[in-house]
Amino acid sequence: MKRQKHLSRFLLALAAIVVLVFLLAPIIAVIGGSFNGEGYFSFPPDTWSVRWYQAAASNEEHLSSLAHSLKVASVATLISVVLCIPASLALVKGSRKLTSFMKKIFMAPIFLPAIVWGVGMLLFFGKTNVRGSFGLLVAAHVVLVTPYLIRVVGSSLDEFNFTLEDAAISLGATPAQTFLRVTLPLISPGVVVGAVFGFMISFSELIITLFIAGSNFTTFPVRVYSEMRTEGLNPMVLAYSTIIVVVVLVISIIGEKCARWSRFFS
Amino acid sequence: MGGRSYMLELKNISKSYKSNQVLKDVNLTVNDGEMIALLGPSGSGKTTILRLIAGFLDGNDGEILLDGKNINTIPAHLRNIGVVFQDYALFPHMTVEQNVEFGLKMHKVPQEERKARVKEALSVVGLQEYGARFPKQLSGGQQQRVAIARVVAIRAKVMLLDEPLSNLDAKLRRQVRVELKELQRKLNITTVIVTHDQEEAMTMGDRIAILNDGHIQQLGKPMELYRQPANKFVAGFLGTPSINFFDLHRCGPATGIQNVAVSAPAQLGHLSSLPDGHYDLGVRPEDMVYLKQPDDAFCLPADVTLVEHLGAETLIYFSSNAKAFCCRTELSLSVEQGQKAWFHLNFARASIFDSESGKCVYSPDSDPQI
Repeated sequence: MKRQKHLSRFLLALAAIVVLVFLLAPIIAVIGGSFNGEGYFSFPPDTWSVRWYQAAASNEEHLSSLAHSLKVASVATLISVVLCIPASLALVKGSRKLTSFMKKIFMAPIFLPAIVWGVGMLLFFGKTNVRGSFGLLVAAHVVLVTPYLIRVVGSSLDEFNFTLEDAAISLGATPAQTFLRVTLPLISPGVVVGAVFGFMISFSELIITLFIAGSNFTTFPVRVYSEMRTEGLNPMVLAYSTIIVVVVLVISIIGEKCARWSRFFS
Repeated sequence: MGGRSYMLELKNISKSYKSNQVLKDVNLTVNDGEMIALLGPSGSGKTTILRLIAGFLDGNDGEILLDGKNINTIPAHLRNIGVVFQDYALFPHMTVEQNVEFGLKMHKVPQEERKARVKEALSVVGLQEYGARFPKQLSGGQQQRVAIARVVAIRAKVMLLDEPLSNLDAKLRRQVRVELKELQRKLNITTVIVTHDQEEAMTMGDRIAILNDGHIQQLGKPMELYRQPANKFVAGFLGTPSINFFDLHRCGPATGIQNVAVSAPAQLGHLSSLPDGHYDLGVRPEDMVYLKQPDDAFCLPADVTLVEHLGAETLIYFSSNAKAFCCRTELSLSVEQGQKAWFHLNFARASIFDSESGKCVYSPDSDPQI
């Protein structure tokens, strides 16, 4: 028995290490590669330097596409947040029949392959002059991001005690005051997590954006992707990626420390 | 304390969810400053009544009147009816003080008065030291007092208590029950308490309304209900252990109880004036007398199935003609499980119900002692 226990523990540890390496290796390669002093990708770096960070900081094209991505992601997330709160409330409070149908509709963008969305968007908007516009991009990302937000906000509403709303109303609060002073503050951790999550999805979205983005409004993933196809991997991209990894890491650590974000994904 | 109090009336209230009628023609008057307990099994409609009064539900037939004014169409947030919820429903992101102040802010009470009223409400419930704490830092009993303070602060016209003690442990429940009742008296606030616990209803309610199946089965003072139940449901629902129901069959001069002939129907006294037919005779466990040997008077032969010694009293469970009964006695007897026994029924305190309708056809006059 004891030996068996040891063995199973050992195998579990081994499996955990393998998965961890598998998950982390690419990220470590990216971070290591970004400090390579040569003009090509190499990990571990042949020579060490921060030249790619200097290049990244002064590359107009990349910086502007990065700004585009941040802009699209921020606006799309903001719109999504505004949409997802009433939607998730309706899903929790509405009649069972209607909500189970609406849930499927809201979740459709998650299950439908992005390529189908992309082609569809192209067919629909390709001939119009909205194609490639900022507005269309935002609209597409809102569609993509909202289901995730509804899920995360919905899961925090599942934990919400709706008796608190009755309590607020019996104490004289109007429905609007009840929402602003009781419901919203209590589900806000879920909303914040959903927003961060949605922002990341929008920020890194490639496929749909490829179909509908125009040349005058290129997002960061689209630029990196098309550049790689024509010129190969530019170590400068690794520098950007490293910065993004660090930012995401910092935000996640703060989120976990302050509000136990992991509970929204269990 | 003890401001002006209000009278609450429910007139012909009916309420249906789709095809399911949960309340059927409920009439109830809660006098000003009175505490009425709505007692009934789950699904009897008592919570629906509470939610209708609070205004959380609408679409009922009939009228809800507060001091004679119809409040049916007044939205819940303008009714000024305070509710203490089963789980207290304190706002977890606010301190105790902020919780109590919430209602005052909603009622646009100026800040200075707000502070004074929060302080007053917290001192009424004995929590003046706890204002800065958050609800989760308080015990269950304290949380409940915060919930009451919220109601006190807004000077609610009516207080509704929804199963207020069910989240407390047994020992605390007794203590809080007394405190709650004292507080309600002191505040002189018209109160409706919903409970499925008869002890709670008996001890806290000035009057009790027993609900079953969407109907008020009986409304009255606790001991009235206990001693003069209007029907079999009320008789069976109140009292632990439950009342004993004996089959009473009367046919001319021949009267039988549980298929045992009553040798001298004169013993039954007033019972003998009943028309022929089948009845249920309701006798409380404390109105049964244990006998080791049968005597001349009517006594029921039985087998003792279980004896429970509870210290101050003893419960003797027995069966007679395949039906189970219980006797409660304050004497310490040497009764043993499995033995034969005989029981006297105290006819003077028995109620009689029509077997078909379940309605009470006879109940003893109210005891001068109660």
